[in-house]
Amino acid sequence: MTRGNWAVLKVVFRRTWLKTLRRPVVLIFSFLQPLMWMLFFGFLFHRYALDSFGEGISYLDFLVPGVCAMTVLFGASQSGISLIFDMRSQFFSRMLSTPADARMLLGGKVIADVSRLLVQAIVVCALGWLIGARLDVAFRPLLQAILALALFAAAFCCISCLIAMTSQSQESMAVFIHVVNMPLLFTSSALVPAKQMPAWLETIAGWNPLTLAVDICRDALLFGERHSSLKGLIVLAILAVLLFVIAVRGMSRATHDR
Amino acid sequence: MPTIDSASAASTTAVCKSFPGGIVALHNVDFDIPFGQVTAIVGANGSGKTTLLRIFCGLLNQDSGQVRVLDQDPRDRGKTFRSLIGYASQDPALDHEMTGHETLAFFAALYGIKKGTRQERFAQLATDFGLNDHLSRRVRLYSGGLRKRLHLAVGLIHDPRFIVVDEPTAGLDPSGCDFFWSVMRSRAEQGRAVLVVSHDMDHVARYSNRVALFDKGALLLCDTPSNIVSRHGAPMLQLTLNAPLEDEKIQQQISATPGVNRMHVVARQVTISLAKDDEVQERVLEKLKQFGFETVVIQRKTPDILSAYFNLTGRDFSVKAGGSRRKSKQKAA
Repeated sequence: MTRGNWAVLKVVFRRTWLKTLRRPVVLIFSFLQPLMWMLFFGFLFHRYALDSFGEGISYLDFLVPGVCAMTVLFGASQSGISLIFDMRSQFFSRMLSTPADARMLLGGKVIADVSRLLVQAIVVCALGWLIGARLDVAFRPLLQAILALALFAAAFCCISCLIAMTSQSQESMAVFIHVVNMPLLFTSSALVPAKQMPAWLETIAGWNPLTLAVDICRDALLFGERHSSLKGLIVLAILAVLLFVIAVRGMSRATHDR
Repeated sequence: MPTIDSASAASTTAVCKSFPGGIVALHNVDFDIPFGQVTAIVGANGSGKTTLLRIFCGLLNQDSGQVRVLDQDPRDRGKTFRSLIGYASQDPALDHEMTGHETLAFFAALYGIKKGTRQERFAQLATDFGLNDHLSRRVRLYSGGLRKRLHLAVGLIHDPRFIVVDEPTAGLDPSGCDFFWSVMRSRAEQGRAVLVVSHDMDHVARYSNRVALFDKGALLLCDTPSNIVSRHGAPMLQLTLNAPLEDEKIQQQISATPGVNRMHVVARQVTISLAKDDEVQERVLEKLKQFGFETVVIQRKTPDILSAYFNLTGRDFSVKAGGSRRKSKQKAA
């Protein structure tokens, strides 16, 4: 990476974080929703039998990694909203009219969003522990969980940015967030083990990228890596890279009226 | 900085551009923008000014014809092209959560300006645009005029060879306008090519080297401000009546008054281009009185670019669609 590209990545990263920190209310409120999910779902379904899971695991223990991944999904899907604001104020086309590499412009934003989402996931995890979840945290599995969530977040930030650049409308973003998030959540293993789902839903869950992230995260946080997570990490990495490339291509089209 | 072989920064040959719905934005435009000069584009709304600017900046493709900007095809929008051109759109493109200094630093990094030279450049721009006391404040606390100044400063941060600015002085106070135009003039004197779309006729006449008049997507003429005024300008009479002048027969009778070149009516606002005959004004006012119209405001303007445009096209773009006039520094009769 050239020095110029590094400088671009750094200033875009810094700007994205700056906007988050200067409007901390949004960040603080983002912890309320996962907390409510853990409190309501965790205690409502505390008798739910996790017969396909390990012994001594309560539903709250099981739920916390799922809610962590859910927080990342919900946050990542909103990543494009700030791009809509930038497009409306023409700040976005001004950035693209500079000689800066489009990959660095998007990369800086995605890395900043991913790092924010990881902070959120860690806080959610700590909140889960505070309300009684038992987590088995070890360094290496924790790194794997963070990597899985980061790759998943990067992939969904890219999709969200792509939708924002294609539609250039807040309404379309709202539809995307609502139409995609809930089905993805309920067809994943975030709330219920895939093996306890009906066969058809289990098949869908197997193809759901959220399941991949949740399973790696759950294995790491509850069992300190029960299975190898390499395959899941590779799939998530391919997904993130592919979507990043597509989103970068979408960037130049977003400002050019033909 | 890459060298440019051509003597002109940008040129178009037979450029045409239409939009869906049969709207012709540009028709057979042959235009040339030299280095070392301020070229102003003047025209009524919808005359194709902004379309041409966007084509020059590679933000829009022409339907036919040739466009060369800094020896390149703007449609490619290569890295070199983007580093040589400075475009400031009509509305300030700023992030309200950033401070003025953060905004300049952000774009300095995007343009690849070395850290060692940044502070010097920021200081120069802050002085040029009167931003010295405001750079540490967030943009959302800026007034509209300050935002515009910062927006223009960002457009010049990389010292572009070709400066393209759309309606720069809309929303600026008189001192801001002077700041802007004198900066443009000095950049042109340093060898840069400057292209400005503006409705600010006073400053256009004072600061630009060449003025291009556009109407309905066509380039009417391009010449020095003094040539345009001496060849096509005429005294103008701008009247505000007590009631809308809607009757076409009355309009025809008034425009048939000897010495009236052209007449344009928008509700209560009447613009008349006069032959150089002092008695025409009296004859027009008398006729209006005969038809029962009182004249509330009378402004007589000496020949200028606006009157030249009016003489050539019959359109007075100092009158807004709602009927009110833009601010004019011309003395009332």
